[in-house]
Amino acid sequence: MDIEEKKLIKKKIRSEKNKRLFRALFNRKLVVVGTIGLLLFIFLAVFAGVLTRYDPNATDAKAILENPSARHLLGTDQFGRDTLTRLLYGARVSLIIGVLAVAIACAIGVFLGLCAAYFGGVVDVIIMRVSEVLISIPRVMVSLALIAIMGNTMIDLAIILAISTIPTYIRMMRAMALSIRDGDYVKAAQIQGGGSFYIMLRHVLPNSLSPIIVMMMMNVGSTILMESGLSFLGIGITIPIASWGTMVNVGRNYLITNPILAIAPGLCVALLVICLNALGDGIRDAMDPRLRGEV
Amino acid sequence: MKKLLKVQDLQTSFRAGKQVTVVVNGVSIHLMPGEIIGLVGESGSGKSVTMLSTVQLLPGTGAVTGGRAELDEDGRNLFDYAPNSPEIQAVRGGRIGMIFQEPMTSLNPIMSVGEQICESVMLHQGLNKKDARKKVVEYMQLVSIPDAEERYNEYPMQFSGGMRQRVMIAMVLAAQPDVLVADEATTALDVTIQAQLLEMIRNLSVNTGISVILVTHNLGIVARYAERIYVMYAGGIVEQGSAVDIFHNPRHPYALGLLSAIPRLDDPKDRVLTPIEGMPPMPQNLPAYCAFYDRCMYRERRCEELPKPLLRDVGVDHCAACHLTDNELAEKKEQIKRMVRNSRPEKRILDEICLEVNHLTKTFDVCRGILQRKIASISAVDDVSFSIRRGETLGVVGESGCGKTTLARTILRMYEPSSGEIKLFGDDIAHMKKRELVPHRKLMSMVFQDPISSLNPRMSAGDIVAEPLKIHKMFRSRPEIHKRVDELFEMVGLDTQMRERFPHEFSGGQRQRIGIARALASDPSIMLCDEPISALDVSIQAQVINLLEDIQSRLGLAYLFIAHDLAVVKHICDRIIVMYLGRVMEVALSEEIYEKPLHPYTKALLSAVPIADPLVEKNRVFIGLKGEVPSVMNRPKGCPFNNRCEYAFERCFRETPPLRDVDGVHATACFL
Repeated sequence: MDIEEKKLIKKKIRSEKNKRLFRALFNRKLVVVGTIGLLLFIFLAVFAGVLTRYDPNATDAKAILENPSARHLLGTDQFGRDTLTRLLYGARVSLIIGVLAVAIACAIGVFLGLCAAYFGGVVDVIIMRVSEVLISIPRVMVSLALIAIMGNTMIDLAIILAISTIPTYIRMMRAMALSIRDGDYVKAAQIQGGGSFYIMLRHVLPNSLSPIIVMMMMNVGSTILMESGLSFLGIGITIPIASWGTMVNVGRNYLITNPILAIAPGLCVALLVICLNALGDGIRDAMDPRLRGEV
Repeated sequence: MKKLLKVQDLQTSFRAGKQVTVVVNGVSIHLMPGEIIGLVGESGSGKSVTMLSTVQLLPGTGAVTGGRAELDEDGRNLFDYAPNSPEIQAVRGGRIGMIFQEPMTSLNPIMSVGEQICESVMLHQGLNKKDARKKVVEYMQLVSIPDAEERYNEYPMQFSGGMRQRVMIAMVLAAQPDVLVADEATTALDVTIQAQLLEMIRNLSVNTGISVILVTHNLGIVARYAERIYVMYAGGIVEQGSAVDIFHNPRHPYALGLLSAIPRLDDPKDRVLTPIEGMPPMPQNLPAYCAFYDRCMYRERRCEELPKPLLRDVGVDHCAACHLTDNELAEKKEQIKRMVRNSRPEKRILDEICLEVNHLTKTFDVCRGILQRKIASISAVDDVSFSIRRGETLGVVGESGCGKTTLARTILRMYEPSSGEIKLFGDDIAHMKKRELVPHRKLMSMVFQDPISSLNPRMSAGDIVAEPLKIHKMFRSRPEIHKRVDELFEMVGLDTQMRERFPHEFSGGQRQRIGIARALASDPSIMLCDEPISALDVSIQAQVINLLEDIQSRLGLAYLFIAHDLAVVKHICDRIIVMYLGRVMEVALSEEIYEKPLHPYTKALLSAVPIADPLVEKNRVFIGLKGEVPSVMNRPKGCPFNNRCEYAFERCFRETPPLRDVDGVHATACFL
């Protein structure tokens, strides 16, 4: 049998696996709803410029605090900016910060967790104590302090939020890696003479990934919440950039007269986080080999 | 005499989503008062489910879908009642008691052992606490738990495995049942403890008249203890009869196959194992014809066309479910004798010593407290010396805690030895640094016990086997690696098309072959096999044993074979080391170990292993060992075996006997 045929077989088997995963994933209604919702948000965020004709930051003194109408579907805020437009652009902010923060946190956290688990000893002690210090300080305080030092552009916020999430990944990765490290196949690789990094990357990491992926999804949701919270407190994204958090903050003042200003962005945050969590739940259940009928 | 328990045409099904699978199909067994019967089968045979169905202890997805069960032939069908009806609750425990494989999960860890048995007594005998307590102590003494009064207040974790099983039996007895069902109750225990427990159960049966059903895959146990045997395969009974009939005149090809596939302690040196090819079928994939057809060596064309064979008489109280007549069977037996391999693969043992271990010791320190002070030292391996020549197989036997696994790991340098030498072709690797070790690692490899956990679930079989090739950079190009992997697959009898599949898509036996292929990849000179077949079904074990022998013959490998199954070790090994609490007790050729064991521990170990032949068993003397294996932390001073040995005298408690050579090959560590 030559290599070409083997490659074909390999592809066929991979696609069988993917099909099974797909079916397992989208079996549950909640997951389907969550995925559709998430895709919708992403679509709206990406095509915000095309879908709306207003500039989110353009003020219009003649259209202050208008109620929803044909011209402004969700009304305007106290500077005459179209709420719907700001909502869609705000989606960008939240999604970018959320995904970026989680990506950074995951990359650093997973690496440190792996090292702590595999090398043990002093390395483990140092990494764990540092992460414990980070956990013991409330996230808001850490973010506050770092914002004061670094500033609050989108990138800065992403990094800052990442820093306060890293310990979670370290702990999760370390726990998974510790349990896998004692498995027979890791021992087999050690007996064969595999080096430490090789074993970590080839054996420990791939088998620890499933819960990490689930955690990442859920984390995007909580990071977005965190960012909105910071913006609501006034220390997040600089005004006038539209962020759902700032919109809620500002809208708070007009809750009686123009409730939409605060409710709309708040609702968006809630819905996006719900979609992300539903998807995360679904992935977790789909990745559980017992539920899929595998070993 | 009325039958105590009569089960007729039992049918049990499990439901997974929309799919319904029949797991037990048309099983009929009966039990007379005071009898001990055996229900034998491998995984998937349905033997456990049969007994669980009888007491209606099936999990939510299972249900009895047909058949009758009667106690005392009183006309009431037990299956007419719901599982939590008062009638069945009275039967469960009160008439039929069951003990399972893992006693730790059946015992409540936060209640003392006495209290738990007391619960059972108070529930079933309606006594008050004070009277119940007295009864509990009586039951504990009945199951031979020493110091019953004092141990009443101890917790399950303070008991060893064998003792916990006895506690379970005491709990079951407290309900005063008429039937005791032991579902693989001794599988997880050491050989000597298993023997103690089963002897105790037999005495119980003789003294109290309780009937026993032994559900097991171990043919030796049923040969020794059971009077009648039911052999199950794929959810049905394929043969039933007295123990003598089944072992000396088996009629069903499955029984015939099993008996030629399992090694026995009293085998001659040239015994050939004839494995049953293939593997046990899954209940979902049973054909409409005989379930054993695919693996049957005796099959005829018509077996595939006829429906499933029913049990029919082939002797007095002896039934088998086979379409073949006696004559056909006899003819086929002759044919098969001529077809199958009649001799073992040629073994060439060279003079060159590939592995030499001298006074190897590995101690672990036990540290407690804030300052992590060393409070004790565990000598897991204590002064072990041996050597293995090229092409030789050395067996290491011992029970749990004897240090055989630590020995293997230390030799492979997963631990650094505390002292001693490990010479691989003359190079002492005992204290080498990791870097220096890598080229030496090529020469040694290991086959693990558990085929599931020893393979990375996310790597394909081909990748797993190719890994050593990549680590040792043995080939330059991809096609070369491919070719070598194909060669290895063929050598272990795996289809090369399965290279891209993942471990969970293989059966247990196939996974073990992948593990063996991986061990062979680096072209080693020595293979350490750590219980390589204990996790496999009995009918598959012979396949792997023969494979290992073939490979050894072709490649001239040396094996260090670690196992607790003495019959297997005797079959495959040239020399055997018996270990106890980290020390070597005896070294001998494998034939001599059985014929002329010198050390008292070896003698006791051998007598504890049941042989799959009831007539031989009748004439054997069982040497019971007193007490339990002491914990490695509290190793007795002097000979480690002194507190359990019946020959122990004063010197045994003062000095540790060294390994004394008796006649060149045979050595023993005893003052006798």
